[in-house]
Amino acid sequence: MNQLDWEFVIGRHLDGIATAEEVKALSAKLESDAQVRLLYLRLAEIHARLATGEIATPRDGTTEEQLRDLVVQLESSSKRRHRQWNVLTGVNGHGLLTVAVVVIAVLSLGLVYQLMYSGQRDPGASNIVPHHSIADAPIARITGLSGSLIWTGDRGQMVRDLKVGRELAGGTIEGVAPDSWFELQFNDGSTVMISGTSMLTFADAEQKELRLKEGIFSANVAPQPEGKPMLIHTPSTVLEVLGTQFDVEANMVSTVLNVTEGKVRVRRLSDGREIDVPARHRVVAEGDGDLTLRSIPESVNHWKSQLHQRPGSYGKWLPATQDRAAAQKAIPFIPSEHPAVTLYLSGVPVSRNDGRPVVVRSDSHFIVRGRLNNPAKVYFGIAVSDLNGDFAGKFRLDLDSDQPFSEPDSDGNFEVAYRLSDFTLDPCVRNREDELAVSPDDLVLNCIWAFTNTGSPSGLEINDVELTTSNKEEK
Amino acid sequence: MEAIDPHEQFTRLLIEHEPELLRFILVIVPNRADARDILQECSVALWRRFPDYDPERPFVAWAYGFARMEVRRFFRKSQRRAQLTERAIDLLIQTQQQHRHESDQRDHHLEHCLKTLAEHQRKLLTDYYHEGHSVNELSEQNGPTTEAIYKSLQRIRGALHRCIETRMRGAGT
Repeated sequence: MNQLDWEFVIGRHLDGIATAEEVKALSAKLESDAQVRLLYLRLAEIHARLATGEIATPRDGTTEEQLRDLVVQLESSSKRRHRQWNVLTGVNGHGLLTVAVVVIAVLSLGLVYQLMYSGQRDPGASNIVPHHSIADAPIARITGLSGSLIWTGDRGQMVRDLKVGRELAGGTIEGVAPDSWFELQFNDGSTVMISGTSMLTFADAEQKELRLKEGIFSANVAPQPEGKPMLIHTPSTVLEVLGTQFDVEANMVSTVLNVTEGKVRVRRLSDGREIDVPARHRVVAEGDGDLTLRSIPESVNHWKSQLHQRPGSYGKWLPATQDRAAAQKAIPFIPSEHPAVTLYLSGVPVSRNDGRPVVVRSDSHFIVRGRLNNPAKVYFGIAVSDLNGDFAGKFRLDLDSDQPFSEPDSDGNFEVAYRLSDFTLDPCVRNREDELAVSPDDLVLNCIWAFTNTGSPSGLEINDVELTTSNKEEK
Repeated sequence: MEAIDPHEQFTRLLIEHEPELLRFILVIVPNRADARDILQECSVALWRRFPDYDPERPFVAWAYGFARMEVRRFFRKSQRRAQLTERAIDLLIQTQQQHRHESDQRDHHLEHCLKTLAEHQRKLLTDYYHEGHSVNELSEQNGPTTEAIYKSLQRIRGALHRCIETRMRGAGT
């Protein structure tokens, strides 16, 4: 684990929700690593200062009168143990046993097109859930959403006008744009979330069974009934939640499972091989290759898109030719909240072959290279998650009228840089800002997108996106 | 010369140093109810031994010894939940003492950094730390899941940490 991982564990310890396994690992680290010791102290000191009244808002704390009373009591009977100073209520420390799952699946261009343009549902999209008889009774409730989403109910009812609070029976939810985001809470308190261009089929007929066809998926799952673990089907694997907390990364041709805590069982569909993945390990299930455990690698702060090797997540992929570099061409996108507006949007997922999470820093900046027909404002946004994979927010450069024009050169090429320090929470998720990150600093980058809003095709193509930092020491 | 009433003297010293002692305990024992129990035990011990206290010595340095003892006692007798090892606790206490001289500066920076938080973040801190609402209560009142609230608290503390470190580095240059 790197420093950010330890910050996460320390935070859980301070709030009293760290597991025995986490506390044990933290103890070992504190014994051996002076840097983590110092990190612990810094964070714990903030916790302690807040708990003793460092924040500006005054409270009724321990008064002189109370202390005088205490002294009198101590003198009369020092054995009495009144809790008269317990002004604050402690955290019970035994919160919901949670399981966090993140599956990132990236569709091939053809499938994206099939979903985006044909409007036809892939016949394989719900080949798992219909094995169960899904009752009409709601099994879950929408607790958050943004962007364009389509829910298809068990009887084929298609709903675009989804609202927070709506109760749903089993069905399929589709996020149809890179900035789509949706959170669902099952009746037992478990929550699942998708973001980006995603398709998730879900059911809870005495056992939660989900099928992720594409996109980013995360979940916080309450303890499930004995013998009925949550099952998550991806195109190439079945993931069975066995333990407490973990996170997973997968794609359509392979599933990469990263377990940060607890244990997850993976079964590869192609050959039926199974493997239990313990804490701080990962496994890559791809074709008939190795299915071996590896340690979770450290995160990196630099990243470069690889459009020459694989398509992006939204738009039309133009493979490289002798004359031109590969590109992800922006295609029309109509935001559900602004049906009169047509944006030209291109999206690129962030993944690295070696599975190392890409973490953005406050001094990070993005360099976007591409093509435009004419000068235009190129708006740029990112989606980030916590280290455990939970969705942490969408952020974008928010310069309003100061958003710079990108000027293509005589060949139509442009290059523009965006500093992370200029990013703010995307307006479409501000209704949940209490739960999301204040800034994308130190969070894991999941995908990026760029769009123009010129009212007509802008010819926007993304050739290359690079994340770098002011400090070049880490590559 | 009239002798100072020991009640008065002890009360005055405890009032002056109680937040510091509580902070010291909270760093090692983050649960606030536990920390206050330990502080109370510590106060009892301090009062019992107050006749031995040398007013020429700083009260807080004397009191820290008792606090450390009570913290260790708490860990020895507490089997309720997962806890840090004795070795880790000792090292934390040592490190804490080595960096105590930065305390005032960090307090000052924290004060500044708190002002940079958004209103809803400050409200969450107030509700949680000052009003004493549990995360479950906040979840029931405001709607977000307990997990989301824990996450928000983590992020806010992380942001404050980075803000303080940035200002500490700035002050050092």
